[in-house]
Amino acid sequence: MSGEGVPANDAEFHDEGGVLETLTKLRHSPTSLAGLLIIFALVLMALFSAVDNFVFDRAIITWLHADPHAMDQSMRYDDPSWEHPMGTDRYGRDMLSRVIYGSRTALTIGIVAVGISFVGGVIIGAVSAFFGGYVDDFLMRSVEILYAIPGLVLAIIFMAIFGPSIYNLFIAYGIVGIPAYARVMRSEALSIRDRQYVEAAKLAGLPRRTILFREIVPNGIAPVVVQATLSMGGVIIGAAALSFLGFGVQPPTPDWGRMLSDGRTAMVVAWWVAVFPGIMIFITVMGFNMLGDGLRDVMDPKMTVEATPYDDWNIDEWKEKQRAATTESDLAPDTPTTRADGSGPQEGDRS
Amino acid sequence: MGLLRYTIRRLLQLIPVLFGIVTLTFVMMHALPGDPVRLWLGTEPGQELADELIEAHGFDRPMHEQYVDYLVRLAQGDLGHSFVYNRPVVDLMWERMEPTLVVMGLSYLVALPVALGLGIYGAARHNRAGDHVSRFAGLAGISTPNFWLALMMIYMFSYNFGLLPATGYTSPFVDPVEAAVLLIMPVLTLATAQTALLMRMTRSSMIEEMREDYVETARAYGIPERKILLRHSFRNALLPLVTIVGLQVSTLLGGSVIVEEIFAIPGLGRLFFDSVIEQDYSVAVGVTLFFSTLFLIGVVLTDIAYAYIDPRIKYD
Repeated sequence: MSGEGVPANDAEFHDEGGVLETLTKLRHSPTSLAGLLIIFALVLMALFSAVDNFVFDRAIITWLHADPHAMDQSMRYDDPSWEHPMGTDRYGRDMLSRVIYGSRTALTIGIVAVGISFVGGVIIGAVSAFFGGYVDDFLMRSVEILYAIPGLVLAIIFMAIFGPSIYNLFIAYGIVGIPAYARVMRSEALSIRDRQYVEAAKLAGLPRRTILFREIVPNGIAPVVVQATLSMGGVIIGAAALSFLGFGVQPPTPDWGRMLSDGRTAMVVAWWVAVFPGIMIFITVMGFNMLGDGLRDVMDPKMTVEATPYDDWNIDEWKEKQRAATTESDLAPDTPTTRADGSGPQEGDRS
Repeated sequence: MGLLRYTIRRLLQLIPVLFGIVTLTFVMMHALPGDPVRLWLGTEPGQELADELIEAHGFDRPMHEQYVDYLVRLAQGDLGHSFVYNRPVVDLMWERMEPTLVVMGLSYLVALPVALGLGIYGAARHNRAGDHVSRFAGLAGISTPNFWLALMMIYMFSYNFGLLPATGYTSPFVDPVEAAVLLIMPVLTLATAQTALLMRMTRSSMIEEMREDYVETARAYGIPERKILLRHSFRNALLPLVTIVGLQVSTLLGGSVIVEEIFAIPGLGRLFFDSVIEQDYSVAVGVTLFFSTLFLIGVVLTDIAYAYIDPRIKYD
C-alpha cells in the first residue's frame, strides 16, 4: 500500500487518544500505574530469561542463583531455604529460577496468542462491517460458532488434534480469542463506515483495501487495544490451565501451569511447588487487568469492551447499555474526564 | 412487532449457528487422531471383527455420506457410540449431567447475591475506602486462576485443617448434608471469578446510573439515598447484567472441565476431559456440542428476557 492516496489533512482523522496522551492521562490512575510497573518488571524478567537462555545458555542465572534445568536427585522437594528460596521440585530443580524462567513462557504465550486474535479479529471485524450483506452475515455467524464453544473446550480439542506444544498453544488461544476482537472491531467500524472522511476517501477513488486499512481500522483500533490488554490476563490463565491439564507446554520448558500440575501431585509433601507459580500467575494477570482497567477509562470512556452484544439486533441500544455496563469510573474525582459532561463533546472529538 | 415474533425470529437465527457447530464437530471428530476400532478391539484387532465394526458404523463410507448420516442421527437425538464404555453417548451424558448442573447452578446462587450486594455497596461508596477495597477485591478475583484457587483450598481445608474432603461427589438429592460438605470447594472455585466479574459490572453499571438526571430529581424531592439506590438505579442498572449472566454460561462450562477434574466430580466436564485423554472422541464431541447448544440457548433466553424487561428495546 502506498501512502500517496491518504488525504492531506490526515492527522485530523487519527485517534486523539494517541500513545503519549494516553500515557500522560494514565498518571492519574494509581491502579494502572501499578499495573504498568508489574508488567514492566515481568517483561524485564522474561527478557532476561530469553537472553540468558538463548545467548548465554543459562550461564547468567546459574551464576546468579541456580540453573533452572539442573536436576539433583539428592535435593528432591527441598524446603524453601536461603539456598532455594522457593524450594525445589521433584527433580531437585530450583523453583525460584524456574519461576523466573516461567515468565518468559507466560508472556510469550500471552503476547503471541493475543497478537493472533488481535490481527484476526481486526481483519474479520473490519471486513465484516465494511462490506456488510452476505460477507457480514457469513463472517459473523462463523465468529458466533467459535464463540459458542467454551474457550477451554475448544482449546483442548485443538491441542488434541494438533498435538501439545507451545506453538499450538499460541494458535489455539489465538483462535479462541478472535470472536471478542472481531465484535469490538466490527461495532467500531460500523460507526466509522459512514463518516465523512470515509466518504471523501471513497469519492477520491481510493481502493477499498486502502480505505479499510488506512481509514477505518486506525480510527477504530483504540477499543480493540483495550480489549487486548484486558484479555491478556484471561489468555495467560487459560494457557496455564491447559498446561496444568497436560495439553499445553511440555517439559522441560519451565511453565507456571505445568509447575502447578506437578505441585498438585506433590501438595502434601511440598506445598511450595503449588504455591509460588500460582502467585506469579496471579501477579501477572493482576498487572494486566489493572493496566487494562485504567486504559479503558482513559482512552475512550464511551466504548464497549468486555461483553459485546451477542446478537446485533439493535446495536445502538446495545452499545448504550454496554457503555453503562463497562465503563468503570475509577479515576480520581479531579481527573479530566469528559464522561461527566455528557456525551456531546466526545461525539465531536471522535469524528 | 410483538415479543412472540421477536422470540421466534431469535430462535430461527440460531439455526445457521447450530448447523455450523454441528459441521465443526463433525470435522473435529474426523480430525482427531485415534482409531475407534483399535480402541474397542485392542491394538491388533482380528480382521473379521474389525471389518464388522467398520461396516456397522460406516467408517469406510465416503465422508459426505458419513456427514449426512451424522446429521440424520443427530436429528434423531443420537450422538453416537462410546467405544470406551460401549454405550450410547447420550446415555453417558444424561448420567453425568446432574453434577455439572448442580455445581453450576449453586455457583450462580452464590455469585449473584454477593456480586450484586458488593457492587451496589461499591457504587454507593464511590471513590471512598469501601469502594476501593471492593474494587481491588474484584480485580483480584478475576485475576486468580481457578485451578490454583482449587489447589490452595484443598491444601488449606483438606490437608492442613482436615475440615473438608478433597474430592468426591454426592448428589444433593440423595444426601444433602454430605453433598453440601463436598460441594463447598468446587462451588467456591467456580463462583469466585464469576462473582468478581459480576460485581465489577454491577458497580460500574450503578455508578453510571447514579449520574442520570432522574437521580438528581429524586434527590431534589428528598427521597432517601438508599431508596434511590435500590428502587430506582438498581432496576435500571440490572439490565446490562442480565446479558453478562447469560454469557457467563460459557465460562462456567469451560470451568467445569477444570473443577470436575480437580475435585473428581463425575460430571460432563470430567467426561469430556477423560474422553479426550482416552481418545473416545464421539463422547468428547458430543459434550462439546451439548455445551455450545446450552450456551446458545442461554444467550437467546437472556436476549428474550432482556427484550421482555426493557420496553424500550425495539424488536427489530
